[in-house]
Amino acid sequence: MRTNMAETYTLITGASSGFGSSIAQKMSADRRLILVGRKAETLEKVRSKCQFPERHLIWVRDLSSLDGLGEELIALLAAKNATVNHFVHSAGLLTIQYARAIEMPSVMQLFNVNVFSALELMRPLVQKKVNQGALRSITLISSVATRLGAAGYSAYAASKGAVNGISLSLAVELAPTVRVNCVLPGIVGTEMNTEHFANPEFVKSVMDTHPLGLGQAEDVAETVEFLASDRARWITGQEIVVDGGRVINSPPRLTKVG
Amino acid sequence: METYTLITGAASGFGRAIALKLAPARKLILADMNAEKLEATRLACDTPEKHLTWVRDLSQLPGIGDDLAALLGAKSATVEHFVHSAGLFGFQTIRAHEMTYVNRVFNVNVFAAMEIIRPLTRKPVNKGALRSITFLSSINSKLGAKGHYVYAGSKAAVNALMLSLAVELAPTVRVNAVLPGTVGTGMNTELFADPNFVASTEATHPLGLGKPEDIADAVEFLSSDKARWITGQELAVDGGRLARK
Repeated sequence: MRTNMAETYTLITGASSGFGSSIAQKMSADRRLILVGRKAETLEKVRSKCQFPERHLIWVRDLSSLDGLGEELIALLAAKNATVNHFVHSAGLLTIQYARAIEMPSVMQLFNVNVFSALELMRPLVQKKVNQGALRSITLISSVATRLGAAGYSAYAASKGAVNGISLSLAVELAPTVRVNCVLPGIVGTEMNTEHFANPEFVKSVMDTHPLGLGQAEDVAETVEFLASDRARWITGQEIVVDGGRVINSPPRLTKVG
Repeated sequence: METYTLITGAASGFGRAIALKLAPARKLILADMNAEKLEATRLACDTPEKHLTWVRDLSQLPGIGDDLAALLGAKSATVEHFVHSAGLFGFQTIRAHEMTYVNRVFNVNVFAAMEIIRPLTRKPVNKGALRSITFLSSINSKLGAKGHYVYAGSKAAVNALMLSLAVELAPTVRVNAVLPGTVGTGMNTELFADPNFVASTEATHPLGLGKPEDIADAVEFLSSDKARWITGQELAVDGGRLARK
């Protein structure tokens, strides 16, 4: 039997690495967190780096498989007498796939993690009997790939484009109780792209295309924290770009003056 | 040399709310044409004695930049963050188009900001202190409405000005715009006195009515190091008004 004494949590998917891990560490000072990731060991490591590790929960789950996802969340919340007031979907897969070689199984895997798993998790979170009306915000990690074209990015960009569209519709559907926004990071070095950032030419090209220079996962975490707080009380349905000016930067030939 | 956040339109509305929000952690230069209300804002701020006031009508462009440079020289001050919150709003249909009104709106909403930014980006005047510019734009730059072409045009000009400056002034200075939804301020008291207008605002903004403090929270975020890697962006703070469009 659920009681009114439930503790309320911020649920963060993809918490074991990259943006998710930064977001977890940033928020851990003044919130209780449920950290979701594939590997118990890395999740545990992130939890130990959080402030007050003992008050955060971990949930080991592969989000590329949707079967039973919602039910598992319901069971977890019931077992821990927990509710979720903020949901941050940071789990994401990036695979480069050229059109001539696109394979549906890997596209499905991409969409399962980046898009559909978020939907499966949201359903119980907006059901009163499960989450007791606790939900106040949803923040989805999208990408500047939804604003730019790049070879090999079609499946990834499509999955993040879907995230933007879902955010827009849910913002209207769930108002005024729940705010829904997306954060669109530029290219930031995380565990998802270690190989790329090991290449000095790649790093130089990122520096050349991002007017403010290289970004850090913490920059993205600051914006997520803002959006998932009362300071963003009247912000919903927005795409917030955190990219050092990448998407607004014109090609160099247009910026030569004099 | 003390470094300040310069806020135009600080006597009322968003500018006043921004001043009150930023006052505890920053030194402010509060600018407005209304000396009395400007002083009232300063006195309402945390530690009023650390903030300066600059009484200036921004619809009169000649000498704005020189006045600001003189003020900074006299007070041995630099400006680290600039928030352009001064704004004129009114209705004019295209059938009744006349340039006097258009010039006043564009002078305050757009050109005054350019006049202010020029000295702020000059090393002899501002010692390279500038780190961020935050414009108050409007969701009216994204929506059509009768009688709004002048105001909407001026705010769309602000958006594009912001975009170009963001690239031109990177990586030293970040430049962004906040696009508020319809919020009751000193600028639209008459409209908000009409219950029908309030009801329609509530109906079109999914999160209900907003407050100047909501705008101030977003401005504070954008002009802080928390937004260290954000530039050239339009941030709508509109209770979902644009999402609903």
